[in-house]
Amino acid sequence: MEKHSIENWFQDFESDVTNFLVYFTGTVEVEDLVQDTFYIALQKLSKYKEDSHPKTWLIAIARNLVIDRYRRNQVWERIKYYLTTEQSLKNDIENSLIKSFEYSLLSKAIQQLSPPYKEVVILRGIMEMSPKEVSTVLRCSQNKVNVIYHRALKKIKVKLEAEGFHYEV
Amino acid sequence: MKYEEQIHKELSNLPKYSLEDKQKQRIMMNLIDKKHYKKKK
Repeated sequence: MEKHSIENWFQDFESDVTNFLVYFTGTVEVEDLVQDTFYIALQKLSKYKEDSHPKTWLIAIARNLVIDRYRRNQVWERIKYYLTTEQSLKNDIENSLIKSFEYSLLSKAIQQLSPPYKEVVILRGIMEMSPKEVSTVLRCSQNKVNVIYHRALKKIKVKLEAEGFHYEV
Repeated sequence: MKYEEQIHKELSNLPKYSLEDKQKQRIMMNLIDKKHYKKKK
């Protein structure tokens, strides 16, 4: 009997991988990326080390896949632009699924963050992963995750306050 | 509530995404095919 089943992992962690990819790429059209993430996982299954959770391992694969693919196809500039500059609210996420005003503004604030902050906000904030899990995905220390997340929340606060929200300090 | 806690809570309340059942079935079939092909090789 096989130790790790890619089919079981797909059933258990598809939504985590999809959720990460939607927020990371800014589009809901992520079926191919999800599939390729699990293809790569299948190929690398023998190298999987049990000291990391399958979920963090799969999300790390998905993250690297997006970065590699966009770089290779020279579309990286496009996504970098998307990740780093202010965008209108016309992206897929806001158009199709985020309905409320507050969510739109919060989503817009996330899109405006630079990539290191955005990654941590997606993993730590939206996906509610622990600092340890995030540090495994990003291959950095838990302390760095905490510092980046703290700074990212501060940046989001500033952006939302500029839109009229008020937060306690 | 401090702003860190408030924004953290708002982030965790953002919509969660998952593929549609049709898409999931398609990927599962492809994964099974790929796995069998890998075993044959």
